[in-house]
Amino acid sequence: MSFFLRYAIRLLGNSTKTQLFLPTALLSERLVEESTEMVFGGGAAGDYPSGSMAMLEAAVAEEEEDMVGKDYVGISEVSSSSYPGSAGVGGGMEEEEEEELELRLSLGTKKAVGGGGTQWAEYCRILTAEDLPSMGSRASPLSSSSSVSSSSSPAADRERCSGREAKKTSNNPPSQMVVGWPPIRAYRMNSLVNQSKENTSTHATIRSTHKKASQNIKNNRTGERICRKEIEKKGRSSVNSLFVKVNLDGDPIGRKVDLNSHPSYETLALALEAMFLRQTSVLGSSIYDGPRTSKLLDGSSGFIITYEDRDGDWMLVGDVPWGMFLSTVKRLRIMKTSEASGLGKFLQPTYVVDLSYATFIQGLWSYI
Amino acid sequence: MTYFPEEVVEHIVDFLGSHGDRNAVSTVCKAWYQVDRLSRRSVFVGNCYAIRPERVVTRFPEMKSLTVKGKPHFADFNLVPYDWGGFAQPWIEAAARGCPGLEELRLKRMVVTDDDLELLARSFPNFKSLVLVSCEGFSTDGLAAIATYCRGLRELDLQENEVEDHGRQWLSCFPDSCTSLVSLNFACLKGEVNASALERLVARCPNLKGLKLNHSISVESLNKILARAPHLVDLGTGSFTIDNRSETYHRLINAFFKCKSLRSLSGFWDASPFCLQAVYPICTNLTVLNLSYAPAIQSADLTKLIGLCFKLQKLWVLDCIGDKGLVVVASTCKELQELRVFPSDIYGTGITAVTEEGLVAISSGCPNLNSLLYFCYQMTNSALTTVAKNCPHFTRFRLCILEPEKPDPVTNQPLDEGFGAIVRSCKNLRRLSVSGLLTDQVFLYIGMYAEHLEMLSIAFAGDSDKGMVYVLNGCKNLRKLEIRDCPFGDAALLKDVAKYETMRSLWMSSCDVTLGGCKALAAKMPRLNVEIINENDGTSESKENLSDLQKVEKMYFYRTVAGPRNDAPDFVWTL
Repeated sequence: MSFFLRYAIRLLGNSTKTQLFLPTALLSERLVEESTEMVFGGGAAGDYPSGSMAMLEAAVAEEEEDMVGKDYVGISEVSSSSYPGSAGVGGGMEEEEEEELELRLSLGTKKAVGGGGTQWAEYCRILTAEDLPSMGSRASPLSSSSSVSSSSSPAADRERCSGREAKKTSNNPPSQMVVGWPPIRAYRMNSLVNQSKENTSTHATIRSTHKKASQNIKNNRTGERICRKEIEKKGRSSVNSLFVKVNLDGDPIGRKVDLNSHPSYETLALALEAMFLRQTSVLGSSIYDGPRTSKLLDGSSGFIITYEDRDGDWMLVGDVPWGMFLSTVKRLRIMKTSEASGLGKFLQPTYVVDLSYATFIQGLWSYI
Repeated sequence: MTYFPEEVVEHIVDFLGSHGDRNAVSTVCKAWYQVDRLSRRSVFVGNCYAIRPERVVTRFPEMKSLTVKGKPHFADFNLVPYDWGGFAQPWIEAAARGCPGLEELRLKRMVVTDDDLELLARSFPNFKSLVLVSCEGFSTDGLAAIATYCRGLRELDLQENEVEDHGRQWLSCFPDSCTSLVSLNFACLKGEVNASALERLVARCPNLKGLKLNHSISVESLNKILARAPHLVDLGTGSFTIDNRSETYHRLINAFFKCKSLRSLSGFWDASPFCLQAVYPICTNLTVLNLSYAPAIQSADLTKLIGLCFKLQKLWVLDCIGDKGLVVVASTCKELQELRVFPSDIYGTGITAVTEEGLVAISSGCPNLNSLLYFCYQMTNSALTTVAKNCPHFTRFRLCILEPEKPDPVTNQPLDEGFGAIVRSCKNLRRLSVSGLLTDQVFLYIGMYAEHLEMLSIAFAGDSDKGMVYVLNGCKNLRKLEIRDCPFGDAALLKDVAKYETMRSLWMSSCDVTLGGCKALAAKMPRLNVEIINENDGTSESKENLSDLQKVEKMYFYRTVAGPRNDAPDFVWTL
């Protein structure tokens, strides 16, 4: 049976606007993991909206209380109308961009057939640039995401927070939000990050980009931890650092980022955004001087992150599973989409709505 | 005027160890300059851009040991873009041409390439010692070249460098004829190392005293190494983790038992607590213990271990040792001279691991303490005053309160009085880093009392230009000043520009200094290189469009006789 499921999932992985809800009894955890990989890994050729950057994020949660009463796993791809009640998880963004592909692997309630994702406890989303906090607008997701980036490579410059802002905000010492603070050598920071990743990979924690959820998390959990189920299963993160050069088109300064200190594309994107944004220097001013910032990842200005792989080809970042990416990446380049002609085929969305597959799968269920 | 023949002067000068004394001798008269010049064996260049390499090599043709430092200190904390500069190549090339007798090279915060290492290996037949600290730009291929071509290499010491891993064969490149190694430190290498080649190397080097392994070396390998080199003095243990109480573990205990000379231990990357017990037999001999890369060891095990180390002089730990652990340290390690407590959790979980209480305990138990680096969540003025009273011998005092601008939690006052007590009491203070909420008052105290202060690091402190002026006026021996995120502006910068030629360098980032101020400084002081690091403005058009009133993001200036440097990248603008 699982063979059929895997086949179905593989087929569906490349298409949009289909939903697949499966009884949990049929699904081993391994299948869930594999299907997630398939969906992410398989959909190379055309699932990404143009002009924006597709980033992978897999968030896995183990909130025991939310799993009570749920009896199936939903693998669903969002169409803009089917999830009105998904508690705002990506909801706002669905309305903004119809082409956005969202993939969810989650434990939903029974009523999620109609799309009530009110209790999506686990999900994987491919994020676009809109998901990544622009420096000028939102403060609260930024603090959660900045601690995301703070758990990333220390080679990334973290967002600057003026001292006074720091005092105002949380009980947590905001030291992680300031570039080069605390004054610990980069080498030691790397060891700390690597070692703490090994320690925290045994705790699966909630990682949600939903505003409310993330704020709750910030309050309830001690510290932000990001955990990707795939990485857990694949084994502990290695203590090795993997520094690659990063260049931004038009910026003469190259940087380096330690890819091994990131568990996912999202944290990498956040780190890169922090790195290439200008830090404001005036004390007491607001953190983000609007127009100067967020050039990098704002979809409207058209930057995408690309990487050069082992064969010397330039690929769009986000195509392949994170682990595979790590093993082939040689360096990164943040380029204007206008120049990304060679990668153009990756940037056109293909709306493959293949209902015949859906009927085929539904037909399968009758055999279960 | 008494007449001394040159041979006598040379004989006398030979007794002078310190660079400062030697430099003073060389300024007396031409004859003494020549004597010093030809007899100087060890040359120290604190800023690689202060002088041209060729000049150094020409002046000191008989030099045997060269130390060069590159990037500013704040480069350690990612405040300096990575291709700012600090290239080792011109130095190695110049030395290869002019000083083929070079035996020792020590580089800190510089960019070293594999080609540089190969040139080094091939150019100096008597080369004995290579020490690289916080460098980058090279890979294990460069190390292979060193191993292959440096006959008679005694020391290869890699401390906290960023080394690209191109394979594990570099260690096998040490020829069978290499038996001269005294110290080998590859702890910072990330990749695999050929363990059997290492064991053979250790076996054939009878003088090996220091060996620091990286994380890839297993405990089984460590056993074999210790069996062949029980005379080790300084050991970095590698990963130090085994799965169960196996025979390996018993052999480890026996191996350590035999290491009667062991005085210094570090490593312990993944140490499990019971592995640590293998070390107990030699604890009583230890003088140096570095557990700062071992977050897995909890406070209880730490204190059990340290509780046996009566002779400890230098201790580096993580703050998970806790205040209670520090009390144990204070009661056990009466000879402690240097303590460093690093944060184990910097991402703000709010766990208060060490506070002012731990520091006070240490100060009351260890009166010989002279060097401190302490990361904590809070500090009080009364604690600092007590510490100052208990430990008047501090030469290096670096306190980092993790939250910027945090006041004394008990009184809600700034920490001016506490740091004031430190500088008043510690007459020999050479290096100071301050943190927490601080006003101009603390700088008044520093200027008044810290007469021997040579290096001062300031972050998120001060109210006005007066603070910086107090320091510049008061500290006669100040050599390096680094400031970030403080409200010091052009008035302070330009108050006494002649002072800057007595200093090595000054770094100011995220302060109120404007471009106009920097230009004025550069105009007044032609022998300073005033560098502006403007990360977003690489093009020359934007340089022209910048108004003089615009605040400068990062400014770094240093005295130099070499003129503006020719290897500055686009984003560095020398005024």
